[in-house]
Amino acid sequence: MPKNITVLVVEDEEIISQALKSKLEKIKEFNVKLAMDGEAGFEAAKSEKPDVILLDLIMPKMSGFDVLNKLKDDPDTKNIPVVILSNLDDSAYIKKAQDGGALDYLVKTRTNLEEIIDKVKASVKK
Amino acid sequence: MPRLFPSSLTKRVVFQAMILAAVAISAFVYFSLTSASQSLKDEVQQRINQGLETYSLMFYDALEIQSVDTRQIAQANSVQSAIVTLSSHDGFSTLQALPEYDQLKELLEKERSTQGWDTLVAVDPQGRVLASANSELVGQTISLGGFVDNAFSDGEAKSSVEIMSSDELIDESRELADSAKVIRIPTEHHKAGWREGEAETDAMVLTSVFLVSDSSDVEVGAIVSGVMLNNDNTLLDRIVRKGGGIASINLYDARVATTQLLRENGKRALGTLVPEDVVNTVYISQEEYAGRAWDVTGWHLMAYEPIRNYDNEVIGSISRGIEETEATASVTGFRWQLLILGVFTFVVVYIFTGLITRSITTPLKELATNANRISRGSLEIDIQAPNTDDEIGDLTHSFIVMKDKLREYYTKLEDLVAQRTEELQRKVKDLETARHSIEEEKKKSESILQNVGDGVLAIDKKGTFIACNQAACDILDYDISEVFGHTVNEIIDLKYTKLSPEEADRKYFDPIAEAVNTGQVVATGTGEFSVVTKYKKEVPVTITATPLKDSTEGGIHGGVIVIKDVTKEQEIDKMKSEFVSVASHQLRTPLSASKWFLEMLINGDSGKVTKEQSEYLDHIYKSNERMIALVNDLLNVSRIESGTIAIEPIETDLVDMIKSVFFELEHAIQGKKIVKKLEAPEGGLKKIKIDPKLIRQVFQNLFSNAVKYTPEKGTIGIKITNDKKFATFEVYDTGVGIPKKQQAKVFKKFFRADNVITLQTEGTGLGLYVAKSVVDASGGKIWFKSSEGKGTHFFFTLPMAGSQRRQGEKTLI
Repeated sequence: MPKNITVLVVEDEEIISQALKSKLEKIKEFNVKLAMDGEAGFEAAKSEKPDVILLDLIMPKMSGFDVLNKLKDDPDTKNIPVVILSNLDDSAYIKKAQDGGALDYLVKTRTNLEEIIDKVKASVKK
Repeated sequence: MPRLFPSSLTKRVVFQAMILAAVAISAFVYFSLTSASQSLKDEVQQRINQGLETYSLMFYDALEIQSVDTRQIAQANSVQSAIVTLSSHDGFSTLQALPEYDQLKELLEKERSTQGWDTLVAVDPQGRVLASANSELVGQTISLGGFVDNAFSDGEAKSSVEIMSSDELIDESRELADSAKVIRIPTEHHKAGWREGEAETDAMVLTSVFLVSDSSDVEVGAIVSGVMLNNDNTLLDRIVRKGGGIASINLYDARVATTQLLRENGKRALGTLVPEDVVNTVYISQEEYAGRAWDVTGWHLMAYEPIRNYDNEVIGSISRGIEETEATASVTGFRWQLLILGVFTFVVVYIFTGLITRSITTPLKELATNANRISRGSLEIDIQAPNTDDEIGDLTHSFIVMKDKLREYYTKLEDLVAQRTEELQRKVKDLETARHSIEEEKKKSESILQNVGDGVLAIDKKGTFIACNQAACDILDYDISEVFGHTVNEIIDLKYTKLSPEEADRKYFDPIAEAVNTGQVVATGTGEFSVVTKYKKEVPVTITATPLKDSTEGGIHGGVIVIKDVTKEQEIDKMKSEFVSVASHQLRTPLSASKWFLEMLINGDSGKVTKEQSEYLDHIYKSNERMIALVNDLLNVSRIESGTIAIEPIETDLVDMIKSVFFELEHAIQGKKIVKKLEAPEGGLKKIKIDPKLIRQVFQNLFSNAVKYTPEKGTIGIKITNDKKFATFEVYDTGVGIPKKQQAKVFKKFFRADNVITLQTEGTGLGLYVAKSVVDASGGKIWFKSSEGKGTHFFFTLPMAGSQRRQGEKTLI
């Protein structure tokens, strides 16, 4: 297990980011950073260079898809694994996210926090 | 072309009889005339031959008389003594000085004149002239072709027809020579080289020589008399006057005396030549000629006899004859008689034929008139019974019988016709009524078609439009008249509008062509296609293309295209799906937050909880999960109802799928100690093209219901059967069953049976609704049998041919 894994959570709903932060911070190695909208998310990704990004799709200012595209277009951030964490579950969105370079696509209501931790850990290993 | 035979029987018989009569009479007249003419000619020819004989006799009689007269002159003493003296005188130069010369010359002149001869000469034994009645010359020889020498050498008097040469004639006298001259005139029938224009200068002469002897009986000279025949027609005129016809004397082949006249000037035909046939017979074969010959002016019946001199040479001929027309003149009269007789016979035949024919045709005509009347429909006529026993009588009798029968049949027929007409009128009326109702139906159908809100078009086999309603034209911006007769490709320009990244690479397909090619109904989803109108406007539409199949052969003979303008639907759909999307997102956010915080609480992340607290938290967690499921189901229902579910058929092994669904439910099944059964058809079920994600959901819903509502140690199971068209899945359980009263509402949204609400808290009442929607969309049917307390059997079918592909935006969760 690598130490000090920085997880960037890009999520506009405070209650969701709080839940994630509370759970993820229980793991000692995880260093959780929050961004409350798309733009802030992208900026944080540039400045913090996180090890993994949990990215929501529907957000003010910049949508998750746009953030994903920008991240993948930017040489600084293109190698950071991105896990989409959204409540949208249309196959079209899932495909779009995969095509955009997302590592995984998790639907919030169908995913336990434990599964999220596993995914984060797995993505960092890669 | 005129008709050869008249149409009337009488006329025809008479006409034909007349033709026969005309032929017979003509033949009779012809043969009568020919034979009469021929026998007449034969008779005339015979007469001519006889005439020529007489002529010949007269000719040689004249010579005989001349010879007698010559003898008398020669035997006269004075002549004898003078000749003795003169012949004994030596030298002719002095001869004329002798008194005997004058005496003899005077005597000769006198005798010549008396006899009417042309020449009278005394010669010495060498043929030298001692004295001549015509000439003052003496001493010149007169030979007459050796005739005179012959007389002396034979020592006897001789008479013959001889030729006197022109020199001898000139010696006699210039006048004599001139009167002998005849110019040769060939007729049109003579060939060139017949010495035409030349003159015959010799003369044919009747010659008589009588020798004179002295006292000692020594021949001292002779008296030679001559009658020149050239240009002397006396004898001939006499003959003709008595016997008619023509007569000629010919020197060689030229006429030197003749009674024949030239047509052009009426002069005697002197110098004309005898015909070639005659030349060949008379002069070359030296025989007599009798028969038809062309003499100067025309055909004659002729007879020629050669004239021979003393040396038996043919020097000319005498001929006698008559013009053919003259000979047959009597036949001409006969011809008229025959003609009159012919005409008379003709008329008689005509009258008799007419009478006979009429006696036959009159009753026939009557019959014909009656038949004609009958043919025009007058069957009520009276026909007189026949008064004869012959064939016509029989015919009339039969005709009367026939007419009566016909009248009988006609009456029957009229009744029948009236009856049939009535039937027919009734049928026509029925047909008219049927036609009216068909027209009504047609109008109704047309009216329905025209008033259908969606565009409806029909095409034939070749893709040409055969029907179209106003709505279709409104959508396409075309007039109805512009659409008819044109093909699909000319009018309907479809544009594929699927632009989402997921669909972008999907190849364009033409629903109309697809329907015609596959023979299956093809329906497009909202938002898939736009149609480009006549004015290049894009209208979003859905297309439903239905192939029209022949009821018997199953071939495709056209199709129906329904075009629906979905502009509004698309807008509403967009709004709705946005709403559902947003709403579900909004609902899911707090649900996921609750889920995670509860998870942390249960997990003891915020400190240990008591057993009771843990139990409560568990309840809250389950409720939260139910809320999440409810939202998911709602979302699915919304998607189903928006019609945007995609159906993507893939060949799927359904038995495998069932097994995997069983596996998922294994925990619950075992928890309730339920027995599960799977009954596949013998030989397995072949793979079917269905959308596995959707069908799986059907199995999940049915099986989870079965497990949920079956008490412990019950049984659930599935029985699969199939025929050619459908596979049938029977999912059964030994559960609580569905109350009879509520069975009708089973597939309604949010249905939950009374007896399970109390039993189970879980369940949204949407599972069966979703299952039915999926089965329907996949081309199958779903139904059930249930009895409360015993269990439930759900049946659903899937087409063996597979589901039709349907494009849409969404899949179910």
